[in-house]
Amino acid sequence: MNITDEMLYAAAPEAAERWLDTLPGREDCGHDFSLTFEASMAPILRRRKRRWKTLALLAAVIAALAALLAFGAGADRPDNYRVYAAQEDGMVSYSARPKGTDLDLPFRPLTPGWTPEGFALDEDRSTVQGHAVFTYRSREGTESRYFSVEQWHGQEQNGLFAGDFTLEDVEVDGEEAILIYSPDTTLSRLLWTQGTDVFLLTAMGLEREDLFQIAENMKW
Amino acid sequence: MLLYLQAIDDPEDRTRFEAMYSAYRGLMFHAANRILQNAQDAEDAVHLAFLSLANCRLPPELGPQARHLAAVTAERKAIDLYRARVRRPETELEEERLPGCAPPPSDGTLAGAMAALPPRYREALLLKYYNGYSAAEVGELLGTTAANVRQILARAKRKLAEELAERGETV
Repeated sequence: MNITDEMLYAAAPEAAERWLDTLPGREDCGHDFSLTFEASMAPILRRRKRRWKTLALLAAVIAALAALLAFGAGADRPDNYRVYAAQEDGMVSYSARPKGTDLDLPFRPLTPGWTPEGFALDEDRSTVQGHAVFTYRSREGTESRYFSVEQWHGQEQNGLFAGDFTLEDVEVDGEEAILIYSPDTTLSRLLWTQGTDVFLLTAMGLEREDLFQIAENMKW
Repeated sequence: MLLYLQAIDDPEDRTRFEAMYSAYRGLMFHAANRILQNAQDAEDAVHLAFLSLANCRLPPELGPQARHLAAVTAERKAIDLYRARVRRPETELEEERLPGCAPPPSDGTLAGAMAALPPRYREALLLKYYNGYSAAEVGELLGTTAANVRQILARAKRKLAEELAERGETV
């Protein structure tokens, strides 16, 4: 049997519809995306670039990937770092290494013992596999304000994201930490370690003082 | 994975992209989650899917073609993530045995047989014959080369012909 292009063009709409029917309808497709997801999508939804910049962007991405590979290999990092971040060509790469990697210690997800006024727990994604994410949102006002605290147990964390950020060495409970913030978007991240765990606080619309209050009041 | 290709330049493209983001991200999550069975991994797949969509020619308006494009892109990223996580490079035909990839029942028609193809075959065929993309564009979306897409399309057509011949259909 010879199947021609015309036959395929004619049958394709029904075939697509049949496959789409295996997915839930729009009303059943609700999902509250995590703050990490929303924060990662924010730059791509905000930014506008000109077409002639595409090649330059591609080059930047390749350079960033190369930087990440070098980063993974430990280039330019101090030997005894706990947290480290670097910015190049509009990409921020970061790494955090907990003091201990003793996975015999049980994983204990910590939650903020203090939150800014008006914030309430929106989502709890704690797992027994050594990873937890707690997201809090403010229901006050029209501006979107939220934060999430992500915790990993006993393992180094590396990441990369785009955007123009300022990096600042800071401390959380006397331990080295890195504050990554953007004056333009009110998006900020605070990266620190505590014992065998790595923490990443991602916040939108919070004051600098709030970030440290949250980070220094994590409770079990 | 927090890496963006911030390459959406044309305001019209941006509007289309934003419309797809608002309308289909939930659908994309479900398309990915039924394969990955893990919300965080599924969100990663959706993120990767939007990175691909940010660099492709989008349908002019929301509708079945845009919905299909969104869901297929998320499915492909989810399958790729699944394969990477379990370190098992399934072949194209074995992909249909992945969680959430069971095909809809085929009724012996060409449309039914197309819908029931293994994911990679179906995706390539429908992106070309339903969404109207070139082999190069399909390759961008599926993460492969145009030459490989042409091979996939040829194999998909052969498989379709075999399936229909087995059923004694003449289309």
